[in-house]
Amino acid sequence: MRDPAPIITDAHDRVRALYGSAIGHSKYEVVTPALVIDRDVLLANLTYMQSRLPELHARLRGHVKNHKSPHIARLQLEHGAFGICAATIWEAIVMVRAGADDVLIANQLVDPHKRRAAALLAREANVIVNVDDVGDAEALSAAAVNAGSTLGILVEVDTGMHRAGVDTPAEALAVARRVQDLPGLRMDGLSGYEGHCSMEMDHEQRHAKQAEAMRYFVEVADLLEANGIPCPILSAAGTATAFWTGANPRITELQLGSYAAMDDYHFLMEPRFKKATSAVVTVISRRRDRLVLNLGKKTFGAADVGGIPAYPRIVGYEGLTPYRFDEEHATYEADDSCPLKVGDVVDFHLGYTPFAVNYFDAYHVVEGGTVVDIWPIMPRGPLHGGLLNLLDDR
Amino acid sequence: MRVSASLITEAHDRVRSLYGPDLGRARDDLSTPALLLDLDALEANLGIMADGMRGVPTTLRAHVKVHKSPHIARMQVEHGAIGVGCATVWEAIVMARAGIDDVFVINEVVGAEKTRALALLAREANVKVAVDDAVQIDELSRAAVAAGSTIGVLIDVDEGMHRCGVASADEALPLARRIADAPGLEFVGLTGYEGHCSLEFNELTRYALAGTAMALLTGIALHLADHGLPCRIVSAAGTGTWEVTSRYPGVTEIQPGSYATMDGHHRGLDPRFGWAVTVLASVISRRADRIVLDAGSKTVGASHGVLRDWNLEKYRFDEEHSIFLLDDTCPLNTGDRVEILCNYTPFAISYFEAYHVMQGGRVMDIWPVMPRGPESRWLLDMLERGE
Repeated sequence: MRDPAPIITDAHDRVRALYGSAIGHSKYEVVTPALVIDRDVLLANLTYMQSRLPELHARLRGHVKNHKSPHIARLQLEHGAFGICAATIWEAIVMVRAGADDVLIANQLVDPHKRRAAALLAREANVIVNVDDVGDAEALSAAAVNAGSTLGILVEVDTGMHRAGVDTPAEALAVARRVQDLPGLRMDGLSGYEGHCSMEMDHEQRHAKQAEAMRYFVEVADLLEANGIPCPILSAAGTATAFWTGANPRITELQLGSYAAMDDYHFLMEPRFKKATSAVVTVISRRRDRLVLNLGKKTFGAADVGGIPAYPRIVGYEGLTPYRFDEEHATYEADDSCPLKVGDVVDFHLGYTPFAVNYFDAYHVVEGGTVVDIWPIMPRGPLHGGLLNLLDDR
Repeated sequence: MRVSASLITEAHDRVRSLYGPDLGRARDDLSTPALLLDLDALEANLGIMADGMRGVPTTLRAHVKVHKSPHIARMQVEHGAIGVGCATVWEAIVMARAGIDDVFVINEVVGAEKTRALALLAREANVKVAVDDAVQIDELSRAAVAAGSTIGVLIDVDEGMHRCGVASADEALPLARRIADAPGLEFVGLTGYEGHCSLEFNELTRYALAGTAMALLTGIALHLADHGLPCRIVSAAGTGTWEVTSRYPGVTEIQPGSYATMDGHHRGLDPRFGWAVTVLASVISRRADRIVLDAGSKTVGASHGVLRDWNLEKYRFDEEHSIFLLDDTCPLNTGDRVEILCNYTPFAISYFEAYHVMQGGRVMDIWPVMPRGPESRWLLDMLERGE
């Protein structure tokens, strides 16, 4: 793995300058709310995943959208991942500069600025993009030719999630044929994240849905290969389906991400990975029948995911019933038997970590309850934050 | 109003540098997602509020947590606001450095670093904060004495929202006495946000609820005055109740914020204010029965939204995608731009780094979102360095 580039080391220096005074102190002494990652739990998750890889047919491509951390991405690469998966071109740029040399943007780019950025990035790493539209493929081809680079292409197949992705095997064949003919593009195979399975909490139901999704996915690959279009990559899986999909002999790579940092939502489906991410928060108001914490929906995002409760819980007080989540506050019912009082600092397990990660500036990295480092969150938020200009300036 | 300090002008320069190529561009030429601010709609909203407050015995304190923009806050002051309300100490520091003298953190502030930040800020601006517990009062007093400053303190009253705040005059009185006796603190009055009213869409029911809430709040103020602790400020209201609360006898100021930027929730409460902030997205996938946009709940937040100009049913919001149902008659195609009207704009704003400020369909400026995110300890460090 290459060393991290200056944009990564500079960002690390920046957050250490901003929040580094917490290093060496207990996590309960930091300014709250703060996002905490337990390094030991993180490493245990990564090591467990690595230990399971030999029995799986597919290779591991670590997804980064749920943690947005170049540091965690490097740890994924050191623990069995051969490459990186990203949701946005901006995540891809950050992770390539963090040292990854193989990155899949498991998403459609479409926007001309983003296509240009992907084409420029492909000069310095193996960049693969999802496509489900002939027009998009043609525009990507033009961008790659213009940049003098080659973009790998996976035709995205809707395996049941009903988001992006071609709807029929015939449509996949048509898009793949066009990709094969276009200069600057390399037809690499298919992408088919079975995300609908990650919304199914019942183990048996989830397994049945996963099996059906992959049966269909392989059927699409068979059609392409029967028509002379090889699919060296068949990419799929999330944390909730990784061991099933990874055991399918036709699937070549897994694109899971939550396994590293985890959260309550994924823990319900895959408890072999432990919750490494939490927040420390302060009780700012204590009433007779309730308590109020200084962290709300602006920070942890939704209190449910697709109707499945994924609200935050106070560690050690998991039984407290939420009263309401506001923008800046979380209010829980608590009577006299609850000893928490104003000023108490508590651990807060976030229901669905990616929302919180998207909002914070940095992780407080903790070992044995003590802050040992500060890691930047990159990229932050939906805008490019200058990453587009960075590539153009080269 | 003072001129903006370098903290603000440098942030403005920074986002203009990052997104400078977008200046002058038409909406459909922007990279997506982008946070669009319609300058004319913003000015119209500020004008409606200024007109509505003309001749009313209460003053307007503009809440900034919804927009987190020093630029919008300054415009609010130019349109008659006496100062700003904030949800966090970090917002207060930013707004004071934006040139605004009167900043009120309408929230409980707990923790040594944050109370120290407040006390240091009180050296350079008129700083107020809400409390509902003796622990907070004692901590604030120690911080103010250490910094050699005076912090104005208002008692937070729970008017029915059931979040922070005392619920009775009996609870308020000992806290008011404690504030009045505490060195470094000035007892200023009461604050009580009737946020439960903003969840009630029937106007008559909402106004009745607000009346009950104001009767409690002003009743506590009278009780304190009877005991020798008059309230110079009695502050309340949000965008859902600003008009009725601003005219309630005994209330001295209102603290709405959403009226400036607006969103679907608040348009349901007061449709006189128009859409000033939207999220621009691209269609990244067009299927037979749906479109997929490149803005999901990581961009617009947990409360999602609808599309401007397109009456399409929401199918699902994922982290990075939103999906809307349609049929063959809808001409939207891959690459097309659409605007998402957020049900609750503050979530979207808190994710973004900057606004693309639009006028006449083109980008005329880039404004920073400040402070970003929940943790901004560096702002305390800045104050401690005496910068």
